[in-house]
Amino acid sequence: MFPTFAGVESRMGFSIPAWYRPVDIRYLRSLVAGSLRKNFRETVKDLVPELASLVASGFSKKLRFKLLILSRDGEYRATYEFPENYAPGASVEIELSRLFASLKLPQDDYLVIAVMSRGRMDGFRSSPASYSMTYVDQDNVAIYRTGAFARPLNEGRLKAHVGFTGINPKIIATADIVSSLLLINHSSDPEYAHAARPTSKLIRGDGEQIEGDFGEIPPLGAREMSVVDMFGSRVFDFLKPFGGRGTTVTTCAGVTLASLHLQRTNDNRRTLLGIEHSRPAHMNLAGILQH
Amino acid sequence: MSGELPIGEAVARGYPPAVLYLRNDDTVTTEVCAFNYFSVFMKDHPEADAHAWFFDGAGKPAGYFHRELGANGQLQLQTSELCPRISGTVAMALIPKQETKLRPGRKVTTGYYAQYFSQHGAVTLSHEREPVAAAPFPTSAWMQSYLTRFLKESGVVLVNSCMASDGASVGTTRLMALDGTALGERTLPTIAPMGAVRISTLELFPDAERLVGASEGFALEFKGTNIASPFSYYEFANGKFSLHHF
Repeated sequence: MFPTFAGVESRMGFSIPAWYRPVDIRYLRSLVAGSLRKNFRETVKDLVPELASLVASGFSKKLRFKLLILSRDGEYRATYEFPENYAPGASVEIELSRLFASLKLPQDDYLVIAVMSRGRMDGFRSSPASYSMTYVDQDNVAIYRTGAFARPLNEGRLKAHVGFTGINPKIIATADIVSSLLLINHSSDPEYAHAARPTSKLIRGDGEQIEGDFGEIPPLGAREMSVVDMFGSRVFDFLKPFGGRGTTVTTCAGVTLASLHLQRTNDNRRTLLGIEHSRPAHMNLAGILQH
Repeated sequence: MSGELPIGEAVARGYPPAVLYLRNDDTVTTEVCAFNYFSVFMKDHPEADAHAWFFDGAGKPAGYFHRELGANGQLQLQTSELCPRISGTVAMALIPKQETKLRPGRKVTTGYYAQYFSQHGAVTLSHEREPVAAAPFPTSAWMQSYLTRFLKESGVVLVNSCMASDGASVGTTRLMALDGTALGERTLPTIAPMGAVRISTLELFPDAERLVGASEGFALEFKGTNIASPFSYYEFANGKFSLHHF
């Protein structure tokens, strides 16, 4: 699920590595291992569509792609199917602003869900490649890339969620740059109907902190909030003794959110300088026996 | 903690530092950003040590940094003040002060970010990439697409995240059309352990413009040994630098 920004050239790309195969021994092994962790009913529910799609595709190495376009409020807008199949070694590339115009969608901020004809299930926590989002804004090129994972998200039937903790130590609030957080309330459940309301605290180098409200993110929607939106214009003075630098720790109980960190010029979000997805910090601690 | 922690010791203790590209020159400076997340997830033992090791492009040690981070401690490290005019790699580890027991065969990796500041206020970001490897490792092919209209400005940064003395990176690259046709292939320059290279598309494939032709995009593929996730980049004549991992 990727954001686009009104007035900004937004390109989505996915390069299929030459080594990609829909099925290999490693994947089959992981399917079995993943199934053993689930009960029989869940296993059948997951494996039947997986195996059926394999048979339906004739075990083809080629991939098909489809895009679902949503408003930032999570409302469905349009679907686009790529007319061609793509073989390993090929790249899918599309300029989304142009696509929106061809679909007669007004210029606006959107969310795009990319759907592949084949993915990799949760038991196999790897993606054959990364989706690439390239934003060309005036004369800035900002890119972020993230893997194509097939896993249950905010879908209680399949996976319980303990909550979201997003840490961004790249916060800047100066005369030139203001950082933003963009959170996506995504789900693998098309009927998902839970709004998220995260809170955030801004911590500076001496440990002093201020709290802010992120606001509500509708189900299947997204919201971008700058540090000025969240904490008010006092952020500039608050961070000034620390070179305008700080860290936000944003939390939301009971849901998993996708999180993007943006650096923008200090001119009401007119220019996007840099963008990156965050990584869940707690995953780094998985190797610790007790914590 | 006093004195320098050897990077090999951090790896041996199960805390392999994560590697990122480092660039400090007239065009770009690198800021390393981290937060002591142990204080969020291990509230009983919130203190940690941040260690950063710097290497030049040839993999030669170029500096070391250590700071104790208490509860909610953070780091926004201007690496250009520590190792000005050094481009290569940075490896960073957050290690809890409290002795912790690791799961058998598991490691504790480190999450952090780098911000690359360049001319005209440009900023580009990356989260950490692969952990330092103590032994050589094979890499499957990485491939990523680029915009043809910025072909002259485009290129790749390749990082060797292996610290073993016999862990030089060797490999090949292919220039690919978007339909998967290979337009060219060549060997990559050897990269020393913990070193890095920045190579433009035209250095790799001087005929790239002719080979790619009118297509809106093209792709570059990299494979070999000890090559961490590559970074694509665009560097414009005005000094703006945009980079991101594959």
